[in-house]
Parts: sequence; C-alpha cells; structure tokens
Amino acid sequence: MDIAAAALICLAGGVVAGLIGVGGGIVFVPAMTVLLSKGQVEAQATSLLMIALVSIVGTWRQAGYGNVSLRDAAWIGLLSPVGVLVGVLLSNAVSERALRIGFALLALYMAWRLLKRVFGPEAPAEVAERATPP
Amino acid sequence: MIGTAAGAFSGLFGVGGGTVIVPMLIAFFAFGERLATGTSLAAIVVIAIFAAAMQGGFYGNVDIGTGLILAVPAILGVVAGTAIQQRIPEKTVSLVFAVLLIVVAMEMIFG
Repeated sequence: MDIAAAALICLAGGVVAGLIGVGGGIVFVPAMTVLLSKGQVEAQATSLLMIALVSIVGTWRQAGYGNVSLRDAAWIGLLSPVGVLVGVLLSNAVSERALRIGFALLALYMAWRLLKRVFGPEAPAEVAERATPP
Repeated sequence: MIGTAAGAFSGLFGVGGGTVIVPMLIAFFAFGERLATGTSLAAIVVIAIFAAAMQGGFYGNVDIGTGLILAVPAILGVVAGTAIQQRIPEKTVSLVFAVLLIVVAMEMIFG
C-alpha cells in the first residue's frame, strides 16, 4: 500500500515537474522518506535517478512546444558539475536535520520570489512589450 | 552562476536544481515562464545524470529498483504536466510553484 501511495505522489510530482520546470525531487524525496521510510540521503540519491528520467521526457515534450533554449540549457548543465561536487560532498558530511532545515529555507525563499512576481507590479520588459504597437 | 548554484543545490537537496534555475532565468535573464521551465528541464537532464552517477557510483546511495518503479508514474505525470502548462496563464505556474514550496518547507521543518 505504501508503494502505491508513493507512486501516486510521484505521479503528482511528475505533473508538477512538467508544470513548473523542476525535476520533481521536491516531491519525490518526501514521498520516499515519509511513505517508504528511506533515509534522507538515500531518498535524495534515488530521486536523482528519477529526476534524470523525468527531465529527459519533459525536455522532449517542451521542445515539441518550442519552449527549450538548448544553448542556454547546455551552458547551465555543463557548468553545474562543480556545484554538484560541492553539494554531494556536503550531503555526506552534515546532519540530516541540517539538510531538512536547509531544504526548507531554500523552498521558502523561492516561494517569496514567485509570490512577488504573481502579486507585484509587472516587470518593465513586459510592460514595454505590451506598449509596443503591432 | 546559475549552473554552479543549481549544481550545488542538486547535490545537497536531491532536487534537480530547477527551484534555482527557473526563478533565476525569469528574474535575471528575462525569460518567459514557459521558456524558463523548458530550458530548466533540459539543463536538469545533464545535472541529474551527473549527480545520480556521483551518489550511486561513489556512495552507493541510489536504490535503483525503487527509483525505476516510481519513475514510471512520474514520467506519465511530466507528459501531462507539460501539456497542461501550455493551456494555463503563465503566472498560474508561479502561484502553483509558490504554494508547493511553502507546503514542502513546512513538512521539512515540522514533519
């Protein structure tokens, strides 16, 4: 039953990944720690495998809709291994509690940024674009 | 800058880095939300494969069986999610993202 519930949550996680352009780990990790009693590090590592598969299919679909800048994606992806190396080493060196607090702070900061975009004034570029006559 | 920051968060938190890439592309590089999310997914392909190889190869932390089983519904979900995204206003995407982030943060702190 727990694996079925985790599968349902991961289905929702995949929908979220497609909707907002994340890998889905933000949903996959809690599904594994809470329902499958996995440790934080194992859940995070396993979610990376899922993220790789989900992002390949997601990219294929978004490319079909014309929503992928491959050049920018390549730059971001290829420059990230330096940061990945630092992050992986840290995740094996600090406590699970510290990881959870760090994850929570990251999530709250990003939420604030997005809420500002939704409810704040429009960005100058958007306003200028709309003001330009056709 | 985005690549390094996203990579560090990916290794640390088991997320693909999209929580960093998408807001940065929109805020600092004037990407529209759909283009930002699609480009983020493409970057995550590279980031997640590298990070999964590190965790699996060096530390043996990847549960491949569980990962593959749970990936099946997740892949079905991403196909649906990308399709839905084309049919809703872009700012709705930001709102959904913000609410999800707050819920997860609460679970991480108090769960």
